[in-house]
Amino acid sequence: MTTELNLVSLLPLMPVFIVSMTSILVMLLISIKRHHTLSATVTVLGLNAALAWIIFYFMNGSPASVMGLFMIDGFSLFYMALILVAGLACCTLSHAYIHDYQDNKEELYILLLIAIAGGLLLVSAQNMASFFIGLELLSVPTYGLLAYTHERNKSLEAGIKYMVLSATASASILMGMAFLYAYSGTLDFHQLGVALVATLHEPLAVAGVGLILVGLAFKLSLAPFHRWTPDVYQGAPAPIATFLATVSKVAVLALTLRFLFSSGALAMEGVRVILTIIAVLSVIIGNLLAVRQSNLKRLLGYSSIAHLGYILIALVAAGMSSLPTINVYIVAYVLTTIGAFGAVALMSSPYDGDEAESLADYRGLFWRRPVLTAVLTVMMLSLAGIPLTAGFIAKFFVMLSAVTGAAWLLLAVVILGSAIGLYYYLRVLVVLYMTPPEKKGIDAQRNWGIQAGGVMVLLTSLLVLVLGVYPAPLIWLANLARIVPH
Amino acid sequence: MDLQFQNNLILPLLILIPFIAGFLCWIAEKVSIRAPRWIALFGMALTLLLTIQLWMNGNYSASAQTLIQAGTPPVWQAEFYMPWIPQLGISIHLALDGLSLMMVALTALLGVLAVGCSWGEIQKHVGFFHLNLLWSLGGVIGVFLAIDMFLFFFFWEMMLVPIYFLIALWGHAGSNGRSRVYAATKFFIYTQASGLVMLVGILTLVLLNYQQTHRLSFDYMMLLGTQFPPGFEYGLMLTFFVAFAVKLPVVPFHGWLPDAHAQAPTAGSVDLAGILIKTAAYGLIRFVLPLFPHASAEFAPIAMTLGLIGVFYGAWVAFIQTDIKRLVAYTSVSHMGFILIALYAGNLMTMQGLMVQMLAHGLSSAALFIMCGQIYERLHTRDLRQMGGMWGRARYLPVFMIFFSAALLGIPGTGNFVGEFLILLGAFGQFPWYVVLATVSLVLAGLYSLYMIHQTLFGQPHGAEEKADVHGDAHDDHADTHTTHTESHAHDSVPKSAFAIADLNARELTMLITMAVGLVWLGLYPQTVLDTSAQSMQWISHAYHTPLFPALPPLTSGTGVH
Repeated sequence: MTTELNLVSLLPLMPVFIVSMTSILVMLLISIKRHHTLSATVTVLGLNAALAWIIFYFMNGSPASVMGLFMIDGFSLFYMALILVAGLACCTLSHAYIHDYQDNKEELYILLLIAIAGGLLLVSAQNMASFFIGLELLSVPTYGLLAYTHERNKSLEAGIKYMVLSATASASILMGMAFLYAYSGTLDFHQLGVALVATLHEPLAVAGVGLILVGLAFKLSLAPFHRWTPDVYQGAPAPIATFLATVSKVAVLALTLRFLFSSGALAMEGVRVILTIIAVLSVIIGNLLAVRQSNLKRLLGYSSIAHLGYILIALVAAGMSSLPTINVYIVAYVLTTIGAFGAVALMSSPYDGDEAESLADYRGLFWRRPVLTAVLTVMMLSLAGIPLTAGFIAKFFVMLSAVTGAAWLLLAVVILGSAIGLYYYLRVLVVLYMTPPEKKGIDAQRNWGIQAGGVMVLLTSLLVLVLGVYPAPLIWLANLARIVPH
Repeated sequence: MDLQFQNNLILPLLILIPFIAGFLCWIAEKVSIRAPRWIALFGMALTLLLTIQLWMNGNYSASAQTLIQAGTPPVWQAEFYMPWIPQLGISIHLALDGLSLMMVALTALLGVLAVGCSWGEIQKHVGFFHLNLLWSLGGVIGVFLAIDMFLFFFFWEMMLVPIYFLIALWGHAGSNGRSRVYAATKFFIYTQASGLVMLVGILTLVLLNYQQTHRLSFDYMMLLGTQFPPGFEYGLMLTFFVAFAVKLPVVPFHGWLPDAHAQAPTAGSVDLAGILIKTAAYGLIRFVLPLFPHASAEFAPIAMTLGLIGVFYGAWVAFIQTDIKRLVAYTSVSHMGFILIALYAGNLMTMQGLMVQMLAHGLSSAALFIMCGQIYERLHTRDLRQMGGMWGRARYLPVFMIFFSAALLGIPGTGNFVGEFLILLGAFGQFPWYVVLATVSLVLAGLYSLYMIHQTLFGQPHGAEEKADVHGDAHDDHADTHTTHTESHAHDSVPKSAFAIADLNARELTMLITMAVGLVWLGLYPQTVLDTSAQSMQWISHAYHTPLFPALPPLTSGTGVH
């Protein structure tokens, strides 16, 4: 493919430029004068501008490939919008969370913006080179974000742990790319697909795809590459844990989908077996390990393992046609995760020693903070997939996909997984409504409901309810978000 | 889908009123602690009135006279249709016939009574309690009205959450030391997991139907007469059966029931025994028999055997209970066994008996649970060994106790007798041996009923009760030290003798009389009910015995909504 660099052909990548420029702008602002709210506002404005551009492009634009490296189609626009929304949520949560932090707090937004830009690149990558650039652009700032409140030892520990393991995963991905390149002589997903489909069982190709999948499974915290998840989730500042659970996962998942679908790797028997094993292990292990948790952040970490497992189950059961299902599921997952972590973040501050993460801190929350508890209730029910919430629609779609693919065993795994899952979600729920303890524990700020973070969390839970009752628009969008080959 | 009927707005109202009223209860708690009770009562009464209005306006008794031809789609008295998720052919399709009308009426009536019986019992977090109570009732009404499979499943799963909260937050600690949270969680997981199995069945059914008609639809009317590849019908029928069997409960799946019942607050037990387990019977009648007629017929001997086991097992285990609420709970297992036998015998007479039996069982078991709650408020124990000698110490309470126990055992003159009689008579022709065995179980029913009456009413008062008498201000000199946590129920009436216990007050009397009148009406003049449900039952019985669409349905009948 001939590539000509001119401004017009770069136009589809506008959101990335907007976000990058915003990060530079925030950097300049900081060098002039440190002002927390100003930095946060500029960040939010930048993200909103990018989002507005995406909506505009979605209405008017057509799929376009940029230099053969990036593909801006319905799929990438959908996931870009999702990343921006999740990024906005993380920014507002961070603002509330970090506001009382004594050290420099403005740099957090620069890191967030760079990571979001990386995520945006990643979801549109259709070439190994852009894939790796996007991945690293997303991962490297995340190390900094995780360790941002380094006065908390756990935060520092989380940052370093994630860095070491993430670098290992990146190395594995690079190795896989090298194998695939050696085998096919191309870095482009689609051309790679042509080469792969020709000989499905070439060991070099299978090893290459396998190594890449291992790296991606690590980033998605799928079993058996999940061991870092609870530690990092627990150690990370709550808004950053939200970021890791939403933006980071959405971006990597989108890349995984595009890689699997356009390279035709899903046609390889070995890859399907690997994915099936990973999916089943994730659902079972994620749910089982969450059962014994009394720490809410760790519990959410384990539950996210299980949820990505459900997504994979839809993927292996229905193949390409599972894309709308996955789109619906990931939206429900992102909204729910933002809401759940958001409530935790609102209860926490960077200096309370430990964050409000032990279930005991939430005992009887309902009688002190009924609305915040209602938010958490909606989120737990949504995670458990109970009607009236978006999670129910999502689970319904996963089961629909699995039935379409006649994958009865995988269906049994889904049912088993959600029965186990129900147990610990209910445990969290009932704690919220128990008689409150005598001693006053950690609590949210008095006026949490009218602050940006609070409003955002309330909106999220409202959205979870609305989508649970009236999912038609979401399904319409999910059907439009298709991957366009060249 | 072309609408060939007038959208009847009362149907969605029946579901919405409990939801809205429940929400108002929660808000109104801030105003006053009494406000939620009145709002809830008003909401449920309004639901009941609307149901009666539907009954009056419907043309039930006239249509009961006309015989239904085999192969016609079911006839609804009222329908409501609104697109919901058009991409998947999911709609908000509500419909009402005699069967669902009776079930909704029972729900609304027991809903009013459930609000009534929590009037004194629930003292903490009143608003949130009524929110949960009314939402569960709204969900149940939704189950009875929905004929879109997705909508049905939606309500089926949704009603679990409020009931979970009812048990987990307002329940009692179990007699075996298990916490109420344990009971609630067990109930939730049992029913939710089995519900997901049914969802697999629903989805497969829909996709099979899609392959045949090329129209994706979750509508019951469209799915009727789906043809199955070999083996599929039986498998799908089993997925539905499992979900309903857990809720009914059929014996190997009954593990959640005694715990959930014993530990639920009175309103929760009324909800569970009176209404909730009827949703399972309703599901079997409405969906399993007509959708999978061949497989159901094949499965009938197994199901009836399970029912028979349930009849005996429930009765026997009820007899050896020491906790009065567990005893009543196990009698439900026994009676639901009868329901299962009636269902799978499936001729018009057993189906009509089933209808009466469901209503009568709903009333009598709800009444007994309410009485358990009343006894508990007075004696502070549910242990039968610590009761006794209540006869003569209160004027009304023992009378009602005897009446409802007798009703439970199916004495002539109560609806239970009519129901059991019709079931046994109707099933005898096809399944004589099952009937003979089931009849033997009536002896056991007598056994546990008399045991319960004997333990509670006769004999000498026992230790704990003397203590309770102290609480119940019988010994005035001691009462002062103990009144702190019994004030709410100790002053309901003035004691008549030194050993008297507080008798039923006007509210409690009204509730019990309502149910007693209902039972006697069902027992003496069941024709009211029989007329109303005749048409629905006739259609279901036809659909079961002579499957509706033996061949592939022609595409034109796809719009067959009348």
